[in-house]
Amino acid sequence: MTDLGRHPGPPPQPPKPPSGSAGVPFTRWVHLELRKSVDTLAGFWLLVVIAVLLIMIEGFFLLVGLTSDDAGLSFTIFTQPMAYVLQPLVATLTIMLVTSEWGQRTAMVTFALEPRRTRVLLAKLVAAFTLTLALILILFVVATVCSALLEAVSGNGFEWDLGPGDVVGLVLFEAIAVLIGFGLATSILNTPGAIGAFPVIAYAIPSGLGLVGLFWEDFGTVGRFLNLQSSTNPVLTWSVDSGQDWGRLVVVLLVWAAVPLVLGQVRVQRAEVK
Amino acid sequence: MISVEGLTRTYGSFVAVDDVTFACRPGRVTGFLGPNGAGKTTTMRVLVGLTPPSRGRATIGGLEYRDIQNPGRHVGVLLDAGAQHGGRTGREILTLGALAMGLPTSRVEEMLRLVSLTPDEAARRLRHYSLGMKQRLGIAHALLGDPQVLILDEPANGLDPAGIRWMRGLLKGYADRGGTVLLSSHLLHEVEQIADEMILIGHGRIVARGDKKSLLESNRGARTATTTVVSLDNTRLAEILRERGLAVTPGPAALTVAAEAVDVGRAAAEHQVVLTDLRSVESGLEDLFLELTSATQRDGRPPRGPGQPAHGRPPQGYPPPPGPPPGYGPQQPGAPR
Repeated sequence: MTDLGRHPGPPPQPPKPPSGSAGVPFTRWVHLELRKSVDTLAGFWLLVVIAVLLIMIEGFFLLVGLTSDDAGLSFTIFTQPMAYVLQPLVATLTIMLVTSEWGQRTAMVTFALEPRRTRVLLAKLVAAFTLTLALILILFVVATVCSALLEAVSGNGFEWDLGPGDVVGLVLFEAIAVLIGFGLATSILNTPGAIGAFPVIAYAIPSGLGLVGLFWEDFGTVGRFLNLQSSTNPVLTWSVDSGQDWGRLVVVLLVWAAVPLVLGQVRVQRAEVK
Repeated sequence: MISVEGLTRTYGSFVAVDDVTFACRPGRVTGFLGPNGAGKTTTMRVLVGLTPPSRGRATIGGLEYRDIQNPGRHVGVLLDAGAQHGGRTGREILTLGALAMGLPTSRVEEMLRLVSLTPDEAARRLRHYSLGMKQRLGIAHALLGDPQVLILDEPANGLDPAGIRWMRGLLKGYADRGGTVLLSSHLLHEVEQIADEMILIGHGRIVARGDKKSLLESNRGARTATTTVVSLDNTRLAEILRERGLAVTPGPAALTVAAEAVDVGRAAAEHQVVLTDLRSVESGLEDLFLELTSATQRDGRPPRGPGQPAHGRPPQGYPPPPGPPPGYGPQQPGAPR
């Protein structure tokens, strides 16, 4: 061996035992995931576009309200229909939080810094919930502004009909979309695949089930148990009452959320991160 | 500090890593050498918990990677410099790492300076980085947490000669301060100048190990001496040498003779042929490397130089490196396990 480059450095210090430092607190991973969701152009603009879209649609509702003479407009007009606009968007956002690690291969780096992969996944889920809550907050702020304007200008019997159930229902409705997106993302681990799968579950399958159910009644009865939209709508309107409502909700959550979530957990734990 | 024991990783019937055992000690740079697909990367991936082993164990400081708390502070890892989000800036990538490890962001600037990435370059997005810049950033990321152990897969890839020299100095200094370095390469000349110890791997198995000197010495007996010679009358010299039963291969300028330089010189002196150049061909590590791993080379056996006889038998009996740690048994090619 040559001795080039060798120099008497400081005396070798006894190496710290690898168990010496404290583990990374979970909140730090959540903070990091939130930062990662906005520090790329794609992530940042996705959030901006969602927010702008919310404001534009609310503005449109406001215009319609201002120009129509119909009385009986209410606050929930500005919130409940918007839940369906948000639904695919928060699912997409959740999916991208997870799958971008695979598409961009940063999972290698992430899992080298936190070998407990479940913690990374949980942090992503918490980050997705946080972002979703922030968007819902924006929605309510914009809805309040629009309602106030509408009431001030038209003044014909605007109803502030927002109850606690409407808020909780909307939050839970979006949370279900986040869970489904998360399950799809972890079990498919591919951005286009997972983003493509969500509308299949949310739109194509409910429409298909409904269509077949029109002509075949028995199938329709059973098919409603797989219909994400019709089964989760009572959550949004805070009207899950009958045993059948609950049954359908549980089945839908099992099939479209729980199963992909479990599959995804297994897949991520076992996946060789390339 | 790094200990790999009986590590095997199979993919179906394909054995990527086959019963590999080695250790890397603090204060030393260990080079992990082998052709593409020999199992270097798989071994390193198992070490950092990205790939589960089929059999065997890999520990760092006595712990499996997944049991290390805040591993970034103890083990610096660079497996693939391209495995970062192309849309993030270099500075952002390091900042994310620093935040994860709980380090102040001033550490980011320190690391950027260490790897000579200018503020301007650090503000660029990774997709606009050259391979060399990505490598520098990756090395900065590995060093962020001031770890005691470095695991670097092909770190010199894409670096220019000045960059390679810089990295060599960096890693040597790091090892001299007591750090443990495991770095892999398929390019021998990169490793032979940095590594205190080399582990040659081919077809998933360790085929040789030791420092450069011991590797070469152990191989000397198995090789035929080769000498190149230039004289004022090459044709005559070739005749003389052939008369003595030596294999001579004439080249455009020089003759290549399968003999020690002293024998060639003596023959020339006796016949008063004026030599203008006489040198013993040092059988470098390169040849040894190619030879040991030739069975696994994708292109079959490597081309041989003129006059070099083919060696039928694999070199055997590599001496263990000085002061082997426990559990560091000599492994010979083809030995029954």
